[in-house]
Amino acid sequence: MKRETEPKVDDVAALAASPFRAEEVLADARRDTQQTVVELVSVTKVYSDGADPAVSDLDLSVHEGEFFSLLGPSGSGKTTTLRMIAGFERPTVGRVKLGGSDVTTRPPYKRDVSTVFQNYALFPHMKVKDNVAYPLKMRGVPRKEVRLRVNEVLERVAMNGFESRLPHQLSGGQRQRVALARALISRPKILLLDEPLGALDLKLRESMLLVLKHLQRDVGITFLYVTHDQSEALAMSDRLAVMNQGRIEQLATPTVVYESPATSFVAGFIGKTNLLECVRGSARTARAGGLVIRLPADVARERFTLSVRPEAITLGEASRSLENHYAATVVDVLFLGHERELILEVSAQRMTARATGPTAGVGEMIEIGWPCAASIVVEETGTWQQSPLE
Amino acid sequence: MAAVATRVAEQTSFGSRVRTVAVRTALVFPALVWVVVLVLVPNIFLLLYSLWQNDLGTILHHWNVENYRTLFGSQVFQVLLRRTFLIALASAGIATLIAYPLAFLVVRRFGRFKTMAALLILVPLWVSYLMRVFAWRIILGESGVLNNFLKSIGLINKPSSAFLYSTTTVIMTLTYVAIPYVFLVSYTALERVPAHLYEASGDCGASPWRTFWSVVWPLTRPAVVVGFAIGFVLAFGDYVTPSLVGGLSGTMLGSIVLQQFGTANDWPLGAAIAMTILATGLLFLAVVSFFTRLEAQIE
Repeated sequence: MKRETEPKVDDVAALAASPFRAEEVLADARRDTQQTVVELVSVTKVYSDGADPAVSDLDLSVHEGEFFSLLGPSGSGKTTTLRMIAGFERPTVGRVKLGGSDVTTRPPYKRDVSTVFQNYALFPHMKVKDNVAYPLKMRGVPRKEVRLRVNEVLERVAMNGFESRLPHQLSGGQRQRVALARALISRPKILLLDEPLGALDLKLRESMLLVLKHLQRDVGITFLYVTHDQSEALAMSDRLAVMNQGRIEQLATPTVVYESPATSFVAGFIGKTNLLECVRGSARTARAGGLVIRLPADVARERFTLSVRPEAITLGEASRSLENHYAATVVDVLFLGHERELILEVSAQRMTARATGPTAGVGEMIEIGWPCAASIVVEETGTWQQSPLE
Repeated sequence: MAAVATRVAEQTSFGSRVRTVAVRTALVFPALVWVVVLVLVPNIFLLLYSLWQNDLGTILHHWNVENYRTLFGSQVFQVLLRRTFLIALASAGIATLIAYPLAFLVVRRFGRFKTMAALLILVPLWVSYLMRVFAWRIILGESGVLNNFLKSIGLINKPSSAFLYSTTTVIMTLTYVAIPYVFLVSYTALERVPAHLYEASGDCGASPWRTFWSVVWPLTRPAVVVGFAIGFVLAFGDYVTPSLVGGLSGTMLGSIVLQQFGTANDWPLGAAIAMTILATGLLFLAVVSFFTRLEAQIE
């Protein structure tokens, strides 16, 4: 978000003078010198012979203190990746490193990681305080210190007062917080979270998001967060990896992933977007069917995909001044409460746009437009340019 | 509010409560009949018989506790009671020590073959009880499998009768009989402990050994105790095994109950022994039930 507001400057002096940019550069520099806490080196996991690999040839490194997300649809290999880091699964090929040392064959109980499970996995026969104290007891921490730290961590997740309850006497959100406390109490180098909010309802999920975010900032532990919910991943992460079919499609900051998706999969998975399959036209233009679209820069490739976010599309007379300006027919209007979603047809191309107030009705014509900077060329890494377009 | 109050009043009125009770009683009735006719009535008769008197094969309806006095004054009975108790304890204990780890192994290590493995262990239950016990005679008898084998490898030169007709033989056979039951109960309990609890425990830094003792055992202990109790009760009242493989030193209380109701034709005394077995069994279950409480709910 920051990038949108800051001035576009290339001059080095101006760059140093800009407080935003300087901060970001500093952060980058800090990240470079920071230690890598988790490293996966060309990891492949095949569950049974002949099956498609759940994870294939994955390289990944997570820096100390960052909030890192693995985002992808179910079956994309994100949970398998997490389980290999925790030690519940062993990679078929490749190495897993934690804090620089190879732990590929080390069992979970000898790894300095904690996991928050999707289904909480609290010990049903132990009271809240015993559940939370469990990791410390296993490490032989003196009883007095255990009591202190249990109180401290329960306070952190606002669960003090529930010490003597059994897990089945708690609500879902409360169990989640106890699970979080249990994972945090041993002060691990890295916290693995496997869809921790998946089982909660929307309201609770939103408040837990904030709890998590603040917690991570306060305790400074590296979070590795697995989710299929793109809004969660965008809101929380310092960096995120979008996974699909056992591979990473793109690894970048949320802003970069959202604004310049690397593949059409990423563009489609992160938020709603209009994907237009294009053929390169004359200088800085693309043709998608009958549509001629102006581009911000030349494209090297003959065929490519364009991504135009619905919110980048301006409707009505205001669109006349924009580089790309067309007449569209409204096919459908979806009322979403805070906004309306318009399904449009622009010379045989289906597009989605958003409007805050009432606009043209179904079947009517409407002017639409977007600046050329809003047409994002998606660099395809494989799929469709190999298959014939016509 | 008022409307709600009326509705609540309607549904908790005397008439509707009577109806609820009637429906519940009707639903419980078949089970109730079953319990009364097949469990309660026979045992009440047994109790009555034990308080009557035998007079040369006819029963005198004199109320007294003479049978019990005779029993507990008898040296033989005391020896038998103690022996029966120890045999039952030993065989149920050994069966548990074998069946529980076996169930653990099957649940945790057999993956998709675990149901098949469990079925194979339960297969003996399909065979008649008598046949199962008799099989041990075939194995342990003087012209049995074990003797023939030992002779063929030259360890002994003439068949030994030491294997059959002893307390050890009875314990062994009763252990064998109890294993499938204890296994079934243990298997069901272990099956209910979800895999993610093992993972969570390991994740918290617990070795597999500590995971077992602090998570798996507390969650399955009640079931194991129930399995153990089933094994104990099965063994405690048994008369088939001691009569087939027990010999004189393997005689148990069950054998003399059979004797009293059979050849001795002294039903009141037999009933008194049976009541003692029943009371001991119930007492044992009562003690054991203290270890079967589990507050936890595994979802």
